[in-house]
Amino acid sequence: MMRLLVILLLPLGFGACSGETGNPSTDSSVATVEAIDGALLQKSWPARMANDEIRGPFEGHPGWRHFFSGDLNLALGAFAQSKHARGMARVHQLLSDLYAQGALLSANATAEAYGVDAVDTDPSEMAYVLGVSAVIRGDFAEAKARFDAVPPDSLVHERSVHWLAAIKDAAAIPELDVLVKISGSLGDVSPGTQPEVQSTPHFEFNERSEKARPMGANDPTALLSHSAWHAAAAKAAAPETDGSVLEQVGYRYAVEKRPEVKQPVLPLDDAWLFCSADLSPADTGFIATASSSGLDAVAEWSDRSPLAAALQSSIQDGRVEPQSVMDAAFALQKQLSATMADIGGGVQDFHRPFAIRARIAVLLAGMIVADANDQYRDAGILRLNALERMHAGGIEPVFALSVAAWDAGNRSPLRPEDILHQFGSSYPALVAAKAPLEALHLRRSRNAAPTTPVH
Amino acid sequence: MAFKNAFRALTGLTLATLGTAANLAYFEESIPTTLNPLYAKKMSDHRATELIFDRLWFHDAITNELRSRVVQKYQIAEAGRAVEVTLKSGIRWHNGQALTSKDLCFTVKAMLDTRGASILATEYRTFLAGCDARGPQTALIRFNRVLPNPRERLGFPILPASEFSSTLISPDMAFSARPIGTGPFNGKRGLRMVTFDFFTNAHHQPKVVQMQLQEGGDPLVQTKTLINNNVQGIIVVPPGQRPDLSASDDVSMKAYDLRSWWYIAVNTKNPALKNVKVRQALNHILNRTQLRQYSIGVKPGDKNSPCEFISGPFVRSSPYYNATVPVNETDNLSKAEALLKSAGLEKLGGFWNVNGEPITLRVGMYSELNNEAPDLLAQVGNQLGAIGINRVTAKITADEWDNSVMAGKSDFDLVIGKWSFGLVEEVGALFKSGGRQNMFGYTNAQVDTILDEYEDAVTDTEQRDAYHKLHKVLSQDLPYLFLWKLDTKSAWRTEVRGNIVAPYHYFTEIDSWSIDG
Repeated sequence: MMRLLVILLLPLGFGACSGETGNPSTDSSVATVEAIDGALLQKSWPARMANDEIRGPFEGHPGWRHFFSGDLNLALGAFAQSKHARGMARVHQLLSDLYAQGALLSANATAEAYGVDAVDTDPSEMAYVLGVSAVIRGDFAEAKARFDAVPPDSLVHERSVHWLAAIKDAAAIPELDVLVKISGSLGDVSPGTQPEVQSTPHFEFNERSEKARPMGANDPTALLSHSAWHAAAAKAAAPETDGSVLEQVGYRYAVEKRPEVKQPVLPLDDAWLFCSADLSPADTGFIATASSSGLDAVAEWSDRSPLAAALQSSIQDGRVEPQSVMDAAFALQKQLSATMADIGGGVQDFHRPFAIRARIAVLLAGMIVADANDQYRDAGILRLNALERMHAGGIEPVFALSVAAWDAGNRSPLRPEDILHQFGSSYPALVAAKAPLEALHLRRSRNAAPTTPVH
Repeated sequence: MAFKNAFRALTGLTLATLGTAANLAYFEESIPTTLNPLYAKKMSDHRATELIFDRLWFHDAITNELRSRVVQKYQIAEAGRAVEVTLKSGIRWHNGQALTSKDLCFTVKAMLDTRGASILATEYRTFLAGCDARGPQTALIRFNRVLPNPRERLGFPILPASEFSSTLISPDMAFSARPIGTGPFNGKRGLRMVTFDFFTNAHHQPKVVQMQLQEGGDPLVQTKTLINNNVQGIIVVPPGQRPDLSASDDVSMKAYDLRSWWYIAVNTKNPALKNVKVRQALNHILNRTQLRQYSIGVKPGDKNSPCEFISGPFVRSSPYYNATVPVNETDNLSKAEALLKSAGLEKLGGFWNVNGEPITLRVGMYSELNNEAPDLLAQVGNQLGAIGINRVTAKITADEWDNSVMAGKSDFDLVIGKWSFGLVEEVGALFKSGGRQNMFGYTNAQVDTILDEYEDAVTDTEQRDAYHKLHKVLSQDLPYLFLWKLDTKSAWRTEVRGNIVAPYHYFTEIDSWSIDG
């Protein structure tokens, strides 16, 4: 068993970092703090997986090992090799979220750089990229206006015509077949594989300056296509019974506003929960509800969802208190550590990373509720706190991309550049988001308060 | 009036001491050399002045929204060539006087005073043209051209007119050690410590009563002191100490967004080093992988390394970084020897000679970098020695750095340093002939032309391409041997709450910080 634990934890090197031994021990310093009802906490995946028998199937599988260390590509390959349907479905779903957030990053950077900060020298074809960006940002009137402005003799005119047709009747991002018709084929959807990646830049447009220099540009449609491709692969891979699970899981990182529907507590297999920011099946329903109903969802779900229960004390005077969420998150980490030690008969190396994931899960839930409650800055505080907490154990790529997209929407290019640099080589299609981000940086830099190199 | 102001100032401090006993001590990279923001040269200077002064406009550390704590309202004037600013009423300086438009215009005029030696002011002079007070709280700031969004540019700290006899502000004034600002803290610099006492004001309500900046020494001692709660924070945690701190529930690691890259500057006036082949040889003598491993602790193949090699004067995630220029990760000694020979050097008795005399290079390193990269100086020296280049190594104090190295008066041949940047990553001052931070007086006509192209660029692509070209030329001409970018992380006790760290400026949101218990 210890060998398997070492395998599971090796990619993150937690044992080495903490200086802890792998031997179970009773640690008197682990204080029992009742953050939430203990019975509710017992239903969470970290608590249940303190039990060797429940954790066992995950420890030995290379797919979960890579998943644990945040490498979705290697995880997908390993799941494909062992024909692990839910493992494949889960990774494809996350990759779909990843590229959707990449598309949002590209759209936000484009809107800020070429929309808000537009200059006369911008190529006229940028109207097309701005149009696609407007679709991703949910502004369909703006999108139509931009597509209408695409020059008829341009490289992207045909694409703009397709887009206009796609959004004529339905104000929504179209399905995979329409997207690939616009931005090019990605190959057949085949679970366990990856779609083809187009080289960048997708186009070269001439600047409207005296020198008419060519400017590389990319079509965010390609990122939407990748997202749709992986969504289709997830659907194809998942067991038939998991259709509604996929739907509910998709709420967390949805770029488009999803319909407000009564969410049930679905019977989630542990393959959907292991290492997830949803600690229990009820958390998945809670998050899907909270993204639209905010505070009401906390009240509605707090008797079932550990995350909602953890957040309850952080709602004060109709607002989410960020510091209180951080305290609640830490308290849950402590309570969970004590619970796992009880179940496992002592403290083990994997307890801390599991408990930290639970702590981050509370921060993310607080962020979602704060966002839905129009507390943009408070949600930002929690978002960045969650990112900081991830640094020690490895940053989740989907969340990192969502932070990058959020930053770009705030006209802040530096952190997104770093995130894209970190993940661009593993997920090469994301590189399509680089050009507008660079433009945002350059344009903001040119108008920024002066600074000099500092030693 | 003076008595009234003194009473107000005293009241502010008294209120501070009556508050909760919330004192906070932290380790800085070094004691700031100045608390005058016009002369801030080190990041520790910038971070300290952020506690004492208000910048006219600043960016929110979370949402990046452009905000001001001192401006009541503003309007663009004179068709974009000016902005009329109305300051909030009721804001007091730490000497008790009221903040007025006179102070704002004094600050602008001080920056426009060409007798001053402030590098920052020189940058502001490229677009500021003047300032006229139009009432007690209203001033018109004028520009020498139309600025698209002037508020973005006006991020300068406001200085008190009452503390200066003229607009000529020099770095050696008493103000640099005991400044007067309108910021949340009143700062005083001592030899071993800087203390910041909170100052209640209309626009700042800090919850921390006193902050103590202490010089961080041995990283291990810093870490133990933090864990034992004898200080509450460390601004820069070296990579080697991060795992221990990350494993503690009593400490939170904080990301600090700062773009820093490390280099070895080469004295191109040295008789041997003026030959580009010798500089290229040095670039091949360096085994960056070993330097990084032995000094920073990053092993080859480590995932998510905080330290990433570079081949030019930008971090790899920057749009200005030219990814087509390769990095020398390891040494290539045969190539280095071939270059040295082709430069006319001879190896005699195991040592390289030029004109019959053995080369001896004087290698220096900015001393405070030794905390982040222990033994880097010795490691560089060892690598030079291993191929037969004599060297003399020395650590450079902050005073020596400012007064000798940056003044172009040092006798070093190689200098190990680090430059940090925020959103603006301009490097012209480092490499242009006569550049204000061109430490060895490097001159290259091609580089100057490229830097002019950058300055004159009309479009983004022109600007980016100019710096890509610069990167390539510098990687061949090598006035610097580029080493790596190293990310910056802070650590704070978990009792310190609400501690939002602002990119670059760090303490911008200090009002939200508090100490539990």
